[in-house]
Amino acid sequence: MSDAIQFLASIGRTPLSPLEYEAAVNAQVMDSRQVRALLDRDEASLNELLGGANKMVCAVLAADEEA
Amino acid sequence: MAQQGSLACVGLGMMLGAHVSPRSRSHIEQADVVFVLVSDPLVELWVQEMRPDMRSLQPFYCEGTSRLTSYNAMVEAMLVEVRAGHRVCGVFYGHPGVFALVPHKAIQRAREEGLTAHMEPGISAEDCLYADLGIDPGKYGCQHYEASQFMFYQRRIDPSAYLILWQVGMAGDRSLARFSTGPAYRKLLVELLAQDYPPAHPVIAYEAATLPITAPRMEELRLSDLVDADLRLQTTLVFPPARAMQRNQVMLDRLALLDREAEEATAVLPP
Repeated sequence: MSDAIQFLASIGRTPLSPLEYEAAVNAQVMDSRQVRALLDRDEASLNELLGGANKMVCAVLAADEEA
Repeated sequence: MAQQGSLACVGLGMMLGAHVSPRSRSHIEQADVVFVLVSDPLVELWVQEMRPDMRSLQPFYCEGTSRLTSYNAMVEAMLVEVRAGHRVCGVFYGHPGVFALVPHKAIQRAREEGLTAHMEPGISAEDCLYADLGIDPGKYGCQHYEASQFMFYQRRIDPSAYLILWQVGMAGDRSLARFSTGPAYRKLLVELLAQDYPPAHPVIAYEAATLPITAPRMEELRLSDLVDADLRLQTTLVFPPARAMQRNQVMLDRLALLDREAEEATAVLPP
């Protein structure tokens, strides 16, 4: 598993205070650009570095099935 | 004997790593085939790391094509694998049964074909909204509508309850083929809402956090601001009540009468 995604999943399970978060990110052994993106909480940069999709659609309901 | 296929549509919850239930995770890990439809690219990568062979349903969306066509294609893609005898897991963001046509339709069709299908709930954007905004839907009551459907059909709003509109970024799109509509469409939505709310009525633009490193959007606007506001696909509008609840005195009097009759019946009972 990618270190950055694994890290996100771990802090999703166990929330950290801002100080704990910064220390935890700095303790990660990963690409320095990913560390920077995590410290900046820059999801767009992190996604680009990890090769995620550019565009996601989040609509799973049709307003009118008779349309 | 060949294995019979099955379908489990599971919810991931909204936030990466935070909301997925043990049962949903188990379905994701044990399925033969996993399809994924989530709203955040990093969440999709997370699922991909759990299941490197996962199949994203995002490519089925195509601006200019009715989403009904896309939804039917997503359903069919999953059912082909179920009919082939595979254990299929459809992974959806939030709750797979809330404001989500594809999981419901896939389960319905599978069952019509005699195949096993079920849903595992997840933590929805609605759940996050109540927690983040400190709203209890039971306090004044709460009305939920998909924004375009709210415009297409005649509805009776109760302004003494909360009103929540979903998918406002594409409000008024009759084609189901666009992912956003513009100010002219929102102007009509505001006109409709102005029948029940004053122009300065507060409205909260809400977006649940999908990553543990980001915060939810909870932007307070006024109704009149909505025409030019930044409203996206994932934005939900929350309207607090505009007036106090009105007591239904006729019903209260009838209930009091029932109470008196019950008391009198008890009083005349022999010891």
